[in-house]
Amino acid sequence: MEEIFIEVLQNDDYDLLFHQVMTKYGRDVLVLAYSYVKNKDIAEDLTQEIFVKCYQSLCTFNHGSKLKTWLWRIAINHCKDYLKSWHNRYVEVADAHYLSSRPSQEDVEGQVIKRDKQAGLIEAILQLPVPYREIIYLHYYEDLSLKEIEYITGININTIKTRLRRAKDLLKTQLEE
Amino acid sequence: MDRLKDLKKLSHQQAFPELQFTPDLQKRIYEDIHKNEEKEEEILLAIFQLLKKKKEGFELLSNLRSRGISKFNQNEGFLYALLHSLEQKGYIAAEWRKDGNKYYFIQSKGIKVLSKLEKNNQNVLISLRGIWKGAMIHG
Repeated sequence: MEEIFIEVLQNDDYDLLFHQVMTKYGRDVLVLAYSYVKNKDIAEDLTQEIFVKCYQSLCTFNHGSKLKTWLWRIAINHCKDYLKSWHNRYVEVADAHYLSSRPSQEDVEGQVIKRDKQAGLIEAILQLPVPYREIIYLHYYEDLSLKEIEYITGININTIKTRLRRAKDLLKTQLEE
Repeated sequence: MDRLKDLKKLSHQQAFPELQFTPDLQKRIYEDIHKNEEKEEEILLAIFQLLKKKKEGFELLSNLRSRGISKFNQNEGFLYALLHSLEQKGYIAAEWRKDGNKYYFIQSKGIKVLSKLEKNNQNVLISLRGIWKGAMIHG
């Protein structure tokens, strides 16, 4: 990806690079946004805004960080700004809750059970307050290291560790209920 | 909580099947980008055209407003930041007059860009986007 970047920019082909970034990371960003707002329509709107921002500031991207890391910082800040915004706090949106109601696609019984278990876990994660949810999501679902999470979110690594421990406790209680 | 460790093995398709980065969403993104670009282009074009004559910042602002550009209405600082960036890159120049005001006017580099903008040249937009963004950060 990084190599493509240098080559393409020399050709001034900004739009091609952007298209590659968008098709490569589009769904990741959508799911990331969903993990914050838990609503499909809002997640799509946020994804749209995030990529517009990405397009506008791709020229300021420097090679000091990875493109994905850079994009994730934009995306996470954007989602958190949304959560803090007036609109989010005062306009009620119906929660999607599709995870519990969606149909099972696979018919192999064992797989269905395992999948439902994982679906239950994902739903439990989505029920966590944002500060815990984002750490669990980034660390376990996205498989990012604590160091990377510190860089992307700007949260101190000790705070991340504390939240991770607390989040696991919360999940345990929730799943045992 | 060993189940957490299995999460990374899940694909989006398994974990969030309803979330799809659809062609429709991509289309919306491109439409939005296009809309924004047209606005930026229109504003830069207007600034360059207006600065063919020396103008003081406030005068420029009201000229832009009468052209229907509302971008700076709540945010005059952004105009000055933009002018500052354009001045630093040599597209325009500025001079202080005895009345205590700063007057801006277009330079030959700016005139070249202006003629390209008027011909709708895409490459010039890419180089100007950096200036625009720089002004947003400082503005």
